[in-house]
Amino acid sequence: MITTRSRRRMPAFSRSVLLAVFLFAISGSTLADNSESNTSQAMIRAAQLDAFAKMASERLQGMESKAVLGGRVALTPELEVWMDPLGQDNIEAGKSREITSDWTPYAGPFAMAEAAHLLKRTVIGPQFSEILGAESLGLGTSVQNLLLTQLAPAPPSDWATEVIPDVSDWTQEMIDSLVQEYGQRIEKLRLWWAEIIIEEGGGISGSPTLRESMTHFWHDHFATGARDVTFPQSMYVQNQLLREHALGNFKELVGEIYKDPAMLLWLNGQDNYVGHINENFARELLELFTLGLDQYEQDDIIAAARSFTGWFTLDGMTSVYYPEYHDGGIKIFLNHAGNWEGDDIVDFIFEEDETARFICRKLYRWFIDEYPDEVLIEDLASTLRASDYEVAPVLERMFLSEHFFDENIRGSMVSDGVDKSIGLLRSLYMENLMLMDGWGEIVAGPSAWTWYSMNVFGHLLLDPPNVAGWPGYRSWINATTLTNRKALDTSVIDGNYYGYDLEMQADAIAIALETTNPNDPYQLVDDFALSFFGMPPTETVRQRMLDELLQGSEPWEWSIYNAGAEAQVQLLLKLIFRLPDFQAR
Amino acid sequence: MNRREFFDKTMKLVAGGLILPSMSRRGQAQNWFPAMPSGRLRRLRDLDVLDGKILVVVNLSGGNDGLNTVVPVNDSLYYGARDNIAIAAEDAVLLNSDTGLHPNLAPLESLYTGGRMAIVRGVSYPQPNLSHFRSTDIWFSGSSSNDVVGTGWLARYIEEAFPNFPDELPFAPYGLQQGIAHEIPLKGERGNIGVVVDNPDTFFQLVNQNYTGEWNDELPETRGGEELAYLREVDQATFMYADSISQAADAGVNSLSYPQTTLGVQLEIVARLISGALDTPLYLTAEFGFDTHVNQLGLHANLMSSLGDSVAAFFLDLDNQGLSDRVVLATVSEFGRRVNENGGFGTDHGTAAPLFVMGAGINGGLYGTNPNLAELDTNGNMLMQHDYRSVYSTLLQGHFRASESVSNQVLMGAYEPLDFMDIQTGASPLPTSNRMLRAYPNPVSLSQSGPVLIQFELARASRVEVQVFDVRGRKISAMGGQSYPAGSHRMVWEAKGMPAGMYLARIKTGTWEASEKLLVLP
Repeated sequence: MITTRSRRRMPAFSRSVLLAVFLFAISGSTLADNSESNTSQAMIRAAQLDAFAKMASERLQGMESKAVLGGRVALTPELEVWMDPLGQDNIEAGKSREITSDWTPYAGPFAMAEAAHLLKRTVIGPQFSEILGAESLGLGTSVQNLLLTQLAPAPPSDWATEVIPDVSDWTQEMIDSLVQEYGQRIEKLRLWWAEIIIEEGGGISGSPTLRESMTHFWHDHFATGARDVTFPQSMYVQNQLLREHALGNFKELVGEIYKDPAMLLWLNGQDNYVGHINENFARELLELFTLGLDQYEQDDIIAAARSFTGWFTLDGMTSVYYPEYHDGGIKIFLNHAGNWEGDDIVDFIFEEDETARFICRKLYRWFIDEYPDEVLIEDLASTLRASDYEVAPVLERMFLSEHFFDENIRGSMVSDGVDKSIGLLRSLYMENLMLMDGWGEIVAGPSAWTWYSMNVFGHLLLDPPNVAGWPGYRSWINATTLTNRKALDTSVIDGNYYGYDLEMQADAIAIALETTNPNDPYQLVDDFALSFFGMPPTETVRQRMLDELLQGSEPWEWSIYNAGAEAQVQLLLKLIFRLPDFQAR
Repeated sequence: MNRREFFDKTMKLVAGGLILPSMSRRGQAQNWFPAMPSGRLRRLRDLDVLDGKILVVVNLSGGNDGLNTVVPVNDSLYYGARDNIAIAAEDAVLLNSDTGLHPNLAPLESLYTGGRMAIVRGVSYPQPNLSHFRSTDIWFSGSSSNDVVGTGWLARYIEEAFPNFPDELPFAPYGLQQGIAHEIPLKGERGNIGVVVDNPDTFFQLVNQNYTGEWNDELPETRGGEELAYLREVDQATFMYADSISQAADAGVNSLSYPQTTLGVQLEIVARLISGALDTPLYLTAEFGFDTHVNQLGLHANLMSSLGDSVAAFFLDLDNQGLSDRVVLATVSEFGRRVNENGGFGTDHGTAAPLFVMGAGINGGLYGTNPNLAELDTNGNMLMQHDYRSVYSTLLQGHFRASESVSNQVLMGAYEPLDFMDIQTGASPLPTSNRMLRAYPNPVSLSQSGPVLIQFELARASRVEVQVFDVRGRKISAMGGQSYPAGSHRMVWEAKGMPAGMYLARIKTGTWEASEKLLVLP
């Protein structure tokens, strides 16, 4: 097949002494000279941008691991995590895996427990007041509110769309300083997103939507790493793209993602042009983004890669198509033969029944449980196909169903790292924390805690371990991450992490006062359990919580207005964050 | 000690407070180490299981390019396929007239010439899968291309070797994985055989201050109950192993500095834990970034540097401390890379590739041939010479002395062992007399070595008392009255924290006694 490619030649890049170190992509090229066309200039620019990203990425990796919190060194962000893309995690499938409910509309009671379950699965760090709000609105209205669209958030700063300069005549010092600046802006971009997540729904007692959970879902799905993309501009553009389509059309999003600048840089789209096929993006598109393994052959990967040729980003924020660099030959993709473009490949992918099943399995794992039942999945997939790949009808059907409220799956999701860092702050009503020094230099305080906790929980937003996203489920929890979760989450109650002043502290009394009856110690324990656990605690655990709150005093002596009440609520919250129950939702 | 006894004991320590008694002596939170049990004696796992061996697996994650790692320096097809990214013959570290190592693997040359390094070429499996994720699963689980197996081959072996696991849990974890990593390798049929720990220095205090105790209450038979049971299991295992890991980290040393790469830092910790006599047989480490689709030369050179420098440092460190006689290190990678370079000065996903096995008991040399680049599969990839499970069966039978039937069971099929290790399966022959084998290191330098290992053999099962005396004849430590089966045994004496000087280690049974002088240097 490869022999059918027409070979075009590109003018060699005139070597710049300064760029020579990192412009390897073109400087070592065997391509011969040709006329000075605009597109060849563009190609040079595209390759420059790519090479700049690669050089910068290598330099940045050295800087990123520096200690931030209390002088301790965090996990290096490049530690990779492998996933189980088939989800064939063959552990003992006990009785609890038997499915006894389906997508029939739920007609049971929608009490506090159901409201809590709904929000814990759909919102990153729901607040108790929001659970109360949802309960009073009822299931239908609560789900409609979750599906509401909102205005796009304002960019973190002008730099989010700042032109990436041509650095060909810059000194190494100038380049280094720009690379450093970009690295800091990526950190700021993370915190900008963290604050958007925390402000979701407009703050205390607002009505949260699914937008950030779904933006996170797509980020995990089309997993793109800032450490390689380098440009905060590109990561910002992609993040807004995912947010814009968060509750939108899956097919349209795939149609955008293959030309998304960050994706072009991340999966070697910049290196994929006629005569120089790079199959990286095409392979992952089929394996991880749309169809899943075993649905295509190696030849289909090549055919898709050839069809996606011609797209480049020259500025890191927009993409352009150059027909001269498109492979105009006949490609055979999934038995369709023709001179295909990228959009054709997307069309063919979405003609396959498996595509809807594949994404529905992932949505199921994101919102319901790790072990999807294939009958339920095909049912959901038919909804997705019927809506021409609009995601919202699928989500609505899920959240209104008997299966979603099945007692069996309550508390069956292992909480991810973002839930235990950003989500924790949100659930404790801790807002506007990232807004230090503009978009925070990460040197101290809440921004440092947030960055560090995401990092040591293995869930640093904008830096997935690889293109497969975070492996999720039980891999969130191991000796190291569990230990770090307990230590960092309890530190928010103390406002102190081993002598390091966090410059923030949860207000234990205020949190307790949001519950239904904080003067009743049993009710306080139950409301906290509702808020922080995936399912009701056993009687033993509940008793331990009560003991922790009362500290030897009698239940009738308890009042939230007692002199020692704050310390006692703090002890209770810290116990909660140390219990295994806290790690599931 | 079984699980029950362990928790009875430890719960007394944590009851009523989150801080262990030993922690209160530590004072400031700045000190992350647990109390060092100076002068204490501790019994290690008997040598009849796993033969006391240690296996370190280095995963070259992303698919290492075999052709540029072990270079066919006389193959014109190789140079023809790689105009821009081939390793020139004159740059390679020549092993023979046809074969050279990547220049940045030069630090491994002495291991090779010393006969301690085997290079097994053309390793893959039938119907190779070119997906990173699927192929990594296959390598870690030890399965065939089309079988999906959710447990790790080494975890299954541990379960074979320790039939009472997990009802009886060891003091130290069976496996220790670094980094946030793949879940399959440590997962057995009956539970996780080990833990993932990044920083043993901070581990202990964080774990102990935040442990809420063991829960025995019944959980609902729902998916939620199932997950909570899992979370509790991890919580308890973490608490259990924190003690042994941090003790070993505290007691152990590194005799030299390591390259501060991802792999270098991990192997530095592994060596320190081995030096500290952590009784863990399996260590899983990794270096990342081998998926060199573009601009491969520089990227791969850095990775080869990390591999060569880190592994060389690791073995030199173990040699310096007299610890290398039990340790084998093996590299794995989910696949090699395509013969032809691509348009981006890189290589795409491939199939068969060489791997390295080095350390104790290795018959060094080259196994298999350089790949035949004239005969490739339909995707332009190299053909397999050795099934990766033959490498595994060699490690099981040659290194751990597993029986052939256990090996077959673990690997779900019969895979003929290769010649890079001698196969002597079954238990070592029983000793004919009682014997104090050795105490090492001796002299022990407190600044340069870990605890002292005391090794002895018994001809028949006996009650044994081990004692350590100082130069004035005062008993420093004693471990008495335990019944030991016939065979080889190991004890550890924590010398760190003891005043420098002469000590005497004595082993007694009812009818026999042996002793050895130990010199402790500052």
